[in-house]
Amino acid sequence: MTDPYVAARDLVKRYGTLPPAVDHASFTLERGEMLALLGPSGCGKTTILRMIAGLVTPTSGSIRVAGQDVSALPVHRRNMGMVFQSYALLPHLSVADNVGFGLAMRGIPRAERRRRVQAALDLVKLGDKGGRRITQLSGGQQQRAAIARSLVIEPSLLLLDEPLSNLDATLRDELRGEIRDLQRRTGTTAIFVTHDQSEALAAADRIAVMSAGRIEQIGAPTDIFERPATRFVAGFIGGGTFLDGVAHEGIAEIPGIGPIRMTAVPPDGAVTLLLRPHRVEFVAPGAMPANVADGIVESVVYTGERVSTQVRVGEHRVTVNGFARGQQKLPGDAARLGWGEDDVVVIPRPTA
Amino acid sequence: MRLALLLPGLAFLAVGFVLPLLWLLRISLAPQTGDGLEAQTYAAVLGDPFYWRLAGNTLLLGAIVAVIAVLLAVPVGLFLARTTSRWRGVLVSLAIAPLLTSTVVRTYGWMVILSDRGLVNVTLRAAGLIARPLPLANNLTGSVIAMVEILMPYAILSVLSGLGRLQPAHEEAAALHGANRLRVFTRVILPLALPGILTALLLVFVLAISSFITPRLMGGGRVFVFGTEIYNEATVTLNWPLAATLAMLLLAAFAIVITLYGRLAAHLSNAP
Repeated sequence: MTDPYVAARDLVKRYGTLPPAVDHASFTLERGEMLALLGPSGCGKTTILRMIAGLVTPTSGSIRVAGQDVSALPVHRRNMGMVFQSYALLPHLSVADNVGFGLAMRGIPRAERRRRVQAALDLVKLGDKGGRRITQLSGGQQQRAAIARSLVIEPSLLLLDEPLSNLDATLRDELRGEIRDLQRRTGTTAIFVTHDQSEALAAADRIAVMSAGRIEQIGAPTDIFERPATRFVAGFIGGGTFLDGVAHEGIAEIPGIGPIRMTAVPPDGAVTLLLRPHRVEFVAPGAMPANVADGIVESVVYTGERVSTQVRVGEHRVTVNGFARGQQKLPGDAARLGWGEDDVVVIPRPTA
Repeated sequence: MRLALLLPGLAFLAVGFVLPLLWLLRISLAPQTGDGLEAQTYAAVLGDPFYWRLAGNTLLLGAIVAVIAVLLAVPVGLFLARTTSRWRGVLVSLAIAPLLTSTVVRTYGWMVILSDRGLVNVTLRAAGLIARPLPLANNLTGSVIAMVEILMPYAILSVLSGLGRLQPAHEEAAALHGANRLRVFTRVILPLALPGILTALLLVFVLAISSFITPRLMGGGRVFVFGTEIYNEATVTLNWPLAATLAMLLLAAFAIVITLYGRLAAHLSNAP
């Protein structure tokens, strides 16, 4: 078995006597892979990125890239690229000089530098903007220039710190796709920090979900979404209705709802189930789904394409997300909800 | 509406600045005897080598003070701009706190420190390092020392405000893309600090060549600059046309310096 291309082992960062900002975080990346560090603000994801970059010194733990321990290397010798939330382009240099900065620092001759800078600018569709000043670029163009600056040095690892959060929604989706495409085409290994679950799901090969300094779960987007390892992961990504009850021989008895049948077989005893809002439907007359529950509509939120309906079932509040078509429910209406056996997510109990 | 808001300020400037300036011009053009306007005093001043030496002294003193004050202020300004200490606000206030004291008081303070029986000489003699007092007061050296200290807060403020564009991420981005500490300084911090440094040089230079209190008190009558000469002509000799002429010439020097600075600043900010 070959070593992973990037390996972070037991990274810890403490500030004084506070709880650790990063608490024994370990993960690996294969060459060409894109990992998203996802979590709420203050969860330690940016600290991990900055430890890899060398901007923050870990309290303990090791970081290896391409078989080399980089912990002892100063920032400027790590050969990593980093894309900042604030772009961090140098305002006194032209776009081309910003992109060529890393090459100039590496002593690349002027002619070759010019050629590689032009190629990088073409790659990010700024081929004709090299002579511009930074302030003459839009936010999206500035971030593209920042990406070109990082890619042109052919970094051993590309680090992206919330690269899309200063952009408006449309541009964010567009640039997300572009970053992913560039990362794939150039075969760059990348770590990408975000608090936006849809960004992580759409752009990453794998996601590490973080909470309070710890990595809760690492996996492919479908693993994270379909098989969340903890209640935090399930709640942070996608969310839905959590139902606590008791399982016996593969059937969960939920107080106020009744027995729930499911494909996954939870161990007997206390159990937590998750109903994703898009996997619950209003039952059409005559249909017989595996699970049904009767309730009263509490509120309806219409967003054009979709309708989100809150239904009170006993003491539970179940959210139903569906495409907007046909007659909508009104608050106070009686509603019968239904879902199949494979629409139920079983949240593993923490093993003490 | 906009005009109504501008009016009080404009009126104040007209009465407090433009009118006195015109009056000063009028005095400078007054003949030694009789009425009328003539450029006689200007011709006399410009034809007299004494005033050219005086101008040379003034510009030299201004340049020396500006360079020393800015050299001392740059590290302080850079530190204050970049520190993340929670004492930053306090430190900035401390750096500019000397401005709360009048120049006269601070100059007298320096006389106490630098005179033959002052703090410095007494200490050095007690330590056996010198046999006779160093000539630190009543000469050019003392004037320069006091002026540097008195004008340094302006330089620190200029450097500090000029660094508003520098973000920690700029330095981090440069380091990540291969710049060592020296190159982060020469390629990122210094270019971004340059406009503030130039403003500091200009400000201190202009304040230095127009000052008269410190050169007069610290110079012990041995430092002759435009400021002290204007003061003498206006209050001792009572030759107002000459004082006004010298003041107008000093003003012309300001105009030239500020125009050159504007050109340079525009050139710097246009070059990407």
